[in-house]
Amino acid sequence: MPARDPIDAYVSELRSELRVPRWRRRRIVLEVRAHLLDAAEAERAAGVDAGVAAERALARFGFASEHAAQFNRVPRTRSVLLRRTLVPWLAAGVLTSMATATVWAFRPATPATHREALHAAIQHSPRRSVHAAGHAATPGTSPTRRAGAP
Amino acid sequence: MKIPELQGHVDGMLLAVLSDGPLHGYGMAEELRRRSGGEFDLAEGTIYPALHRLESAGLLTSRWEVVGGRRRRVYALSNSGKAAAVDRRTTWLAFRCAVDAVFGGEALEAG
Repeated sequence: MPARDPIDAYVSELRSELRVPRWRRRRIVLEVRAHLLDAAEAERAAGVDAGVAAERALARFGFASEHAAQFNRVPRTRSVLLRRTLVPWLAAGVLTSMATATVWAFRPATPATHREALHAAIQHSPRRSVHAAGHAATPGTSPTRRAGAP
Repeated sequence: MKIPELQGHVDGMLLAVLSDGPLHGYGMAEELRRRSGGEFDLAEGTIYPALHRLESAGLLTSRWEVVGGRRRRVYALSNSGKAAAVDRRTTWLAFRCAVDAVFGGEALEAG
């Protein structure tokens, strides 16, 4: 089984120890790999064997676990922070507005409509008919006859 | 120079190196080594978390470029970074002057 390229192995170790968003992890890995390849090429240009060149480049670069720990402590950029705080608030505002508009569109009948419906119900209620009948049975008490009229 | 003594000054030195123009990380490591005459030999990997931290603070900008046939992240000072670079250099020179005076047994004028 061929030995794994030491730079590939180092980059894999670094990747596994990073606790950052995927896009940041990809960027870090690409940057580090480019640096190590440049450093190894400089060693080879000085006449060093490829394997030794890679090992020297890695030795100068430092431990993957230590660098990963430093990367994991880097604060997020202001733009990312802004996106992660502003977007949820905007989304909540939009959803609330949509919900309010929906509820308002399907709201129950207005108070004026209610009053009309109630008035119509009273006009046709049995209790009003009995009241009108009671007035007609009592002489001189017809609701349509004015006091003093012939 | 030992790493603990260097670490606190890495940010300022990176800003100083970038004052001369945009560079990628490997180029910055080489430039630090060249300017210090080989005296500064910190682990090269410490440069990248520092660069990301400085960018996160708005002092640097960066973009991908193809340099020498390889895709690299190139960093440059932002406007804030340029001001910070000047400020760090001024602070360092005042500090160095004061330390020199103490080691030399002199007394600087207050102010």
